[in-house]
Amino acid sequence: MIAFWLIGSVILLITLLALLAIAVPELSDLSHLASVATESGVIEAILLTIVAALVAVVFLLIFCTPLAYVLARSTSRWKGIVENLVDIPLVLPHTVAGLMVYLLFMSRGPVGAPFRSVGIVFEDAFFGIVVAMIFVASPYYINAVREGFEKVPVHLENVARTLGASRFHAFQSITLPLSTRHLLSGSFLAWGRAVGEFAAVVMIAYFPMVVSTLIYQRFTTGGLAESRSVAFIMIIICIAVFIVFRWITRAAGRHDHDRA
Amino acid sequence: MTMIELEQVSLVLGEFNLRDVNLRISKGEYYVLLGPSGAGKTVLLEVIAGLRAADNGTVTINQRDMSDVQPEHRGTALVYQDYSLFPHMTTAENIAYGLKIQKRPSQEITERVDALLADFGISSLKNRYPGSLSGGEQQRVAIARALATHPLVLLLDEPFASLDPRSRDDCIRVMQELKDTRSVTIIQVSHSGDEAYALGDKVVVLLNGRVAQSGTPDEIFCQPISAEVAQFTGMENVLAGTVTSDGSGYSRISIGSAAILLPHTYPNGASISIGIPAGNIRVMPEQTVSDNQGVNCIPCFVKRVTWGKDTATLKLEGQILLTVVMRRTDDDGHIPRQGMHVCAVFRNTDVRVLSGV
Repeated sequence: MIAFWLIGSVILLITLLALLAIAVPELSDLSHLASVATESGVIEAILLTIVAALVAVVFLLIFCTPLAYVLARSTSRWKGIVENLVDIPLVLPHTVAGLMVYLLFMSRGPVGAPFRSVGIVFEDAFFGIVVAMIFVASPYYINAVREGFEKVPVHLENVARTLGASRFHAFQSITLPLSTRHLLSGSFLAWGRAVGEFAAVVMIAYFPMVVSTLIYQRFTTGGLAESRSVAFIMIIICIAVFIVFRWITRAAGRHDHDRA
Repeated sequence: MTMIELEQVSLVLGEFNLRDVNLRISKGEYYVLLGPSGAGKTVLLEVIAGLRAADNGTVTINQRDMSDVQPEHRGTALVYQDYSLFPHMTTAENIAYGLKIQKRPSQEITERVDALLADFGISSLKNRYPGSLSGGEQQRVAIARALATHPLVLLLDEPFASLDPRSRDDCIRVMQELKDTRSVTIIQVSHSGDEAYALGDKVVVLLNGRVAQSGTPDEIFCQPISAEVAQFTGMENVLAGTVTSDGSGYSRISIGSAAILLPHTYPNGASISIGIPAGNIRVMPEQTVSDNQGVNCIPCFVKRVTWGKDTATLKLEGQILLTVVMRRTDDDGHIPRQGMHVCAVFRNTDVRVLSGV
């Protein structure tokens, strides 16, 4: 077991060192950190990133939860094709993903053009950031939630139906509550993925700047110290969100061990 | 009045087939569906409940064709082997589930749930979650939940399979009371003859997706119509051979070098299967049996004796292989020991002719 620990600790060490490499210089110059943290550009970028990622997650919750359920329960021979389609954003270079999103949602694109005619623009706009985030985060959400649905025995739904529940009511009253933990973890994974996305976002919306774009912009124009402070603030926020998430999922998963 | 009627119901599910199943179950009847694993028992319940669509055939419940009727409107309630209690709901919430869907007044729901909790002796479990209940307790909750909405038909999928013997006996008693006090029609999947005898008005044997035999428990267990049914229902000695007639008025079946007297005359040369219940064979010391008319006496050697709590099972080897079950007494002096030479004695009327005629 010790050998496994030693080998496994390599990656933990790298993560820890990387965190220290940012935290130590930042914590040793708190006045600089405070001045960066109160800059309106930084605050706006952080809020924009968090809100855009939340909107992306809400979209995934509404539109991808049914797909995850279908994939969990379907025995269709086409299921494999759909699964591969869902996973495509995972294997693409993010610049390629960004290019695909851009081609689709640019003002002259097949989706962007009709939206533009009703006043919704994606290029260099909030919704451009959201669609890029949705595209790259969707497989994380769908796969996590599908796994949760698969773990709910179909017998529970069958019993609910013979007790008078429609298919939707059985899903809503039985499957959904028993998959809460996976819904939360899928949402968090997708949110984290969306917050961290740079390449796909920057292809369609350099402005308004999300945190990743801001860090890159400051790194190329102002140097390491300028970008490091923004990065450290984002790390603090993400860790705080992560702690809250763990606390919520532990409470939500209290019936998991009972599953038949 | 017929409550459930299945006509030519067929379903192909991967390598598994349900083939031309015909059943007619009267209102209030307790039907036991017997069959080995993979025979299609659970699938048949799911077809009746509407959870699976049959490829062919019709399911009629209470005189109504169910072809286009969703599970929630069929008036059936299903209890699986694992009970499938909703783990995020308390016992009371589980039982109230169907009533809440029906949007019954909360006062009525509370009264109905309390009555069922009392009927099944589980009032003390009202606020407990399924994870903290024993198998027997879970089974009672599952049946109470199924009965809460007054279903026309209760479908039970091996409800006693995962219980210890004591809980199983308790639950069989609960089901007997249920059968006596409520007019619900029940179909129970089982592979136990004891359960079929204790509860079933009728028994259906399902083998390889087909109805192999249906009838009263006595008909199924004492008069199986085929070697397969006999083997499944626990008839220990199922043998195949050819009918020979010596003109004495009796037919015999030749099995290897042994000749066994049959209860009736059969065409000479016919290939048939016979069954001899292990409890109907007596074991006597060699040479003490005179050749009476209608009595078979097969010289054998006691190969093995397996002692049980109330019985001893003997494996006899001679011209044919036979299994004999003998009741134990205080001294067990009548039970031959391993290695002894004995005669297996049984009347021709104890021989059941199973197939081939």
